[in-house]
Amino acid sequence: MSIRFVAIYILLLFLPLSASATAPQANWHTARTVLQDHCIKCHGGVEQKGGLDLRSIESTLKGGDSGPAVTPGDADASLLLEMLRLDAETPMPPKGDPLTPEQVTVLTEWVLAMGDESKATSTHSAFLPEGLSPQLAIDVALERSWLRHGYQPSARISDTHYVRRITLDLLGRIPTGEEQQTFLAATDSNKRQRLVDKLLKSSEHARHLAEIFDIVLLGRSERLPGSDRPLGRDDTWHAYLRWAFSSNRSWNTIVRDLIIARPSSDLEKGASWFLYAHKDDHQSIAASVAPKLLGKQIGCAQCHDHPIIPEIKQGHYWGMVAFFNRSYNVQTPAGPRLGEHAVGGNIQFSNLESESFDAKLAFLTGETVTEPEPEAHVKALYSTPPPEKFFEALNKPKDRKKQKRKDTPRYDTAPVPQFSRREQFAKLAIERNLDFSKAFVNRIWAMLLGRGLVHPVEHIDSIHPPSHPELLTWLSQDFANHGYNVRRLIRAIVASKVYQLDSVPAAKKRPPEASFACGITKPLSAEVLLRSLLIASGRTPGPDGSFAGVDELSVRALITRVYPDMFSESFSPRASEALLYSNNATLDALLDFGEGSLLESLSTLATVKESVQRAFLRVHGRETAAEELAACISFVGDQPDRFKHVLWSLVTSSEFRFNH
Amino acid sequence: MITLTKDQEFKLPSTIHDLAVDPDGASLWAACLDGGIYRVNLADGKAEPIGHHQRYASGVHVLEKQDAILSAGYDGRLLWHDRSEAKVFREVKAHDFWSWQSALSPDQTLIATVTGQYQCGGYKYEPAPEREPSVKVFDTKTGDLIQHFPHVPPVESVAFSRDGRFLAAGNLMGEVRVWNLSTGDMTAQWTTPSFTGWGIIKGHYYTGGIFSLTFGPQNDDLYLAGMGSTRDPAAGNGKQLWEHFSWKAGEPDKVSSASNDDIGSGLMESLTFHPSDAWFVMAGRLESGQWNAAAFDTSTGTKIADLNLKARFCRAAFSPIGDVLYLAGGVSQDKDPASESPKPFGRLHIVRIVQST
Amino acid sequence: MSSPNASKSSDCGSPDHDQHRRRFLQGLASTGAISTMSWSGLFSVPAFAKIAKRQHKHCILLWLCGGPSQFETWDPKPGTSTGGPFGSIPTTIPGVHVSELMPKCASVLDKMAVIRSMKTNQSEHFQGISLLTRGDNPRPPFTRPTLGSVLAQQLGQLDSAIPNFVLLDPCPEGNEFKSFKAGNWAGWLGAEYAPVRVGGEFKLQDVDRLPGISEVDHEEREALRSFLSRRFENERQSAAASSHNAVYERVKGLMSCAPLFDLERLPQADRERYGPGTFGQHALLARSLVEEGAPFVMVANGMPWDTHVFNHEIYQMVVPDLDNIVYQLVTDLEERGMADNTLVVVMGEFGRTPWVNVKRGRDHYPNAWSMAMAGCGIQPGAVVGATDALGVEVTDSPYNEKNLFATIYRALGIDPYAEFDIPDLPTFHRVEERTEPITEVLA
Repeated sequence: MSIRFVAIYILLLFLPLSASATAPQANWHTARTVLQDHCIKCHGGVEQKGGLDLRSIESTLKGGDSGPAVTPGDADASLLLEMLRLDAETPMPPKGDPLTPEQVTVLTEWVLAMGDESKATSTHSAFLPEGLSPQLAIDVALERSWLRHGYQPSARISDTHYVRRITLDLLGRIPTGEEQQTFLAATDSNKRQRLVDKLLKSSEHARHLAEIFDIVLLGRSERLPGSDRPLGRDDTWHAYLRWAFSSNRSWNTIVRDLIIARPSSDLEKGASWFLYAHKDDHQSIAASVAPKLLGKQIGCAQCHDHPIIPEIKQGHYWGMVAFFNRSYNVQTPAGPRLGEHAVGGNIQFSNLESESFDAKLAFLTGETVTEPEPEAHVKALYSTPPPEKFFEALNKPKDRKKQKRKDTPRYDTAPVPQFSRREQFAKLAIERNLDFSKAFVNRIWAMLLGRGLVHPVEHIDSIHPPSHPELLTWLSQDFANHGYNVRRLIRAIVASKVYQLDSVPAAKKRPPEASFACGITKPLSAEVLLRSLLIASGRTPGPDGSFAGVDELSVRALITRVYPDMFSESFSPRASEALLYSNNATLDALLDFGEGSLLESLSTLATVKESVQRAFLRVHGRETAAEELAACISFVGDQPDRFKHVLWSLVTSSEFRFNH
Repeated sequence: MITLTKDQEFKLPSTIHDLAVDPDGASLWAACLDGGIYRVNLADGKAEPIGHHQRYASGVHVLEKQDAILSAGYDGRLLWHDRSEAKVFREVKAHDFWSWQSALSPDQTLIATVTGQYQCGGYKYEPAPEREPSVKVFDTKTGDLIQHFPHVPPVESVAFSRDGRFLAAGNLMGEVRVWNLSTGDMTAQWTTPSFTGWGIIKGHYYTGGIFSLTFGPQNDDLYLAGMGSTRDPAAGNGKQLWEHFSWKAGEPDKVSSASNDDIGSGLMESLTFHPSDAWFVMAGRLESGQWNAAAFDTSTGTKIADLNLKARFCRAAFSPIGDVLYLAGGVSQDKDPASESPKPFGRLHIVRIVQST
Repeated sequence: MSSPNASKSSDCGSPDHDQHRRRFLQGLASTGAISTMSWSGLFSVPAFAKIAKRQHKHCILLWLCGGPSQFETWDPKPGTSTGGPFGSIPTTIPGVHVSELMPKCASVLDKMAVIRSMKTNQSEHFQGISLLTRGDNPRPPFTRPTLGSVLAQQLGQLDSAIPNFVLLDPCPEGNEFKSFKAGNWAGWLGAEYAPVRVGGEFKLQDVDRLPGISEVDHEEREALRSFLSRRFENERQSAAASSHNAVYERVKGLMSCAPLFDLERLPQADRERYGPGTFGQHALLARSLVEEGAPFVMVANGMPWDTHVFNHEIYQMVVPDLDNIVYQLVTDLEERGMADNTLVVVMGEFGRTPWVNVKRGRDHYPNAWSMAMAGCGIQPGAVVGATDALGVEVTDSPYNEKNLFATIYRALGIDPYAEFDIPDLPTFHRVEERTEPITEVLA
């Protein structure tokens, strides 16, 4: 770090801690819980009695038929608090128990705190100025929050543990013995950065990201209990993702590829699968695009406005559907494609009262698109028109007597209209929407740090406040300003101080996960665990990261069956996982595969002690502690064939199960 | 070309499940959710009860020659009402369970009614075999049971052929059976999977079924309507679907079905032919899409007109000369049912039909 | 241990076994390692320990997920504008009627208790399921354990072969219930009190020891694994690692009790009585597991009660199924002398609206709903609370989730107000605010 940087750093770090600036926000989240439990039923997304909606600060301030519900800073003038009094004319809630004094206090404190907030000029968002490097922004934001809350961050992670952590995070496997030794032997102060740069450029890194986003975007391809139906895809999809990540294609371009799905080269052609896999089910597309690309759950708003989250409306759900409902799957000689009609797709949706509304081309931010309304469906409306037979069929009365079930049409190319709804969606979703950037930044943060800044990751909404709001906004803005450069973002996060914190807490008491003051133990995914297991057993991956002689897909299917989902809210392992490792013949056979295996090489060593030490080095990448050595030697006793059980104990221990 | 134009809307106390057009041209008969059988005066929309079932009323028919109204209900009963005196003069217990639907033979001599309680019959909630005959045919003059036929319960829809020789009934599982009434033989049997969903999202059971079944101009044409299959039984978002089968030519064959370009989603409860037979109307509820009642050309199957009237329609019927379409059904029940005058939630829409060339 | 199957494999009794273990322990002692770490912990893992069973009480929860309609079950309003198409029938309690869809329960209602005045405040599934399985609203970031986890801890024994919390549910999907199932059941009690899920596609697999591994090796390698793994867990105070280790502690018990989960082993006559559907078969399995010593079994069947569409068309099937299952359970427990120590709870997360919507359905309604209980600690024939003529409001004795949970704990002889004494946690109580139990339903 240069002197100038150090100066900025210190300056930023000790700017007046504007704790009060975020306090009302915190109060709101407590107040919201009370309102949600007692008031939202009549004054929320499903009903708004008296015109009052208490789901957000804004709507509460706006109030209902009797005016604003609260006056910031003035409890006596706030209608909401007045209505809660038992001696009010019609005390609220009208039925059932009144609020407890504690609950009224919570609401009162929130109203008072809002007064402070409106007096203070909002300075709290400005303490991360533009122009910082993202790494510095992360360091400043986190250090400030640790200072403010009095958390003592963990020590910097040792090289031994660092090389395991970074290799797992960037390549999706543990390092080989050779990779580990090379890194530990290097003595230059810049060696972590050098390793990161090397890993980021490797094809294994691209494969790892491709694998994660394959699962995020289309789900695991095998049918698992508890998972949705598998969505189809072929090798071109996997090839596309690998190419996109290895060429560091910008995230906005990748998402344009996915949404517009009009590949201009062979390299891009697999991108069509993201929409094609939904088999013309437009609601399924909307329900997938929102959480995966925009970090929002909107499924709840299918039948009415979201009951708890004010900004998600029924119109948004159907608006999302409308952006995709002119699209249809087409088979072309070049592969599966998404065609789009130039007209049609004007739908209405109805709520529980059977009132119906036009589904406008409406985006989650409330923006709408007006579109041309052509009178007839003619060729001129297309830049790439459908074949003549399409228009012939349109103009001729259909003979349904001959018509059989509709198959996916086979055209030479996928039709593209002059006005494309998907194109419009891509514009609204990507170009003008910080949430698009936030969703990706948050996911990458969660992937590397073990928890999202908004957690769980696909819940970026008003009831899931970020742990570090200013940082999330800053990083998302920065990501957008710098061309949605995926590699730049990853590099910045792994270079930051927070990424390099040990997972052993500095103080007696472990700080909360959301503080990021101590490295989080991150469970390995089934894919990563399997590859690591193969390396630990003595195998070496080929240049493309695959392992000769192992049917990875079928073994992985065994593991995914019992593993919790990726990016889940909390780690909830199942007993079936332990049963699998304890009793499954296929997994058992992985450890003991004869020539070249770790087990075989250990058998040539002179003493049990050496074998144990070698095994620890290979599996955990570290030296053996005295008590561990003693326990293992004692376990083996005079029966060397028991050594394979030592190896089993190592690969099934938590130290192996997590990235830490 | 035809155009459909909404003319009037009448409100009844509760959802109208079935509708019969009186030949006098001045009134309609409605079977309602509150159990009531009502005469609706077309001049002013006034509905006046003439009788009552113990449970939901599900069917209503005009027996012209007997000057009587025949109704059916979820109480499993058939009631004969004197048309002018508003008095029940005969009552027959037809089923232990609901009369899901009933149909009058074209010559008005027979009434067919279908029943069946869905009871768990397997690990995956396949319906158990029937415990009482699911399909019964009664003499409308005497109330005597003439014939009964077996089916797999619950049987949700029933229809006579135009010439009165055949009876068809469809169930929740999509199974259709057709009987020859003169011989009592079953002459056709097939199953369409299109209208039935097995809940895998919310829970395990079958939902949906064939809600309406209508013979076409030819005896061997049978039209089915309902909602396309859904994975989530609580979503109500299956396609607005009809299917046309020809069942006489050896193996029953699906001739055509509603085109995806013409339909949205929602339960369709009624399919009725216009007196001209040139087109038919299908009506129900809109979940998402553009209409809740639409006209389809009989020869091409293409949608030729539609309407969105913001209600659930259980029954569509035409005036005898085919110039008016009656759409009957309801909206959501009042959320303050205890109020002194709860909002009526039955709806009857009067739609004018204009034909042009 | 009450299960013959379970005791067979945990008391191996082989002389080899004892001899080797002695040698292993001696070896550990001679290295001096015992002094450095909690070596005593190595062999006190449940696989080797025997702790006396603390209680002999059990609970079966028939979880009617989705929100069952009170009108079509315990609180019918026949002939009214909200009553729906079903009538009501008298029961063995004079003056008390239930839906005509429940003739079998009507014949044993004097052995059960019904609460018709439940009044809660969460109208969405996820929040409602959480409320009625945990007994309280969330207080982030702390996660309150579910009823099953609390009872697993209070009624279970640590060395039990049968899991202390069994969840029988065949449905892999289920919208919000699916999300809930993927979440944290055990809360701050830890993963050892999370459910083991079986049913339908969810089978216990990998329950047989591989032929190449001796029983001794199988047990001792787990002891070594646990020792190495706990070291990591302790150093990092990692809750995730703790959960990971907790699932391994279950292996031995699950291996020995796996045959108990096989439906085929249940008597054919019993299987026919409970009805062929998954719900009936699993309710029977629950009875059988309780007989084998399981403290808590939750029987769910997806979310079939969430009838926004086709309410009556679906209830004419699912309610008779439920009617039969509850009847069989109540009579079985009595005939088998289990009624005094086994509590059966029948409920969902809320009720359904009095009004019928345009999709032929009833929507969510937490404002006035019903549930039923029978067996251990319950006053037979108690019918508590009432709603108005149309079922819109509770008119007598409203009770919320806290009242209910206090009642369940009382019935099972557990202190409802005990403090959860967990390090680093604010003071929580099993039931907060000393909320009263519903004394009328307590024996």
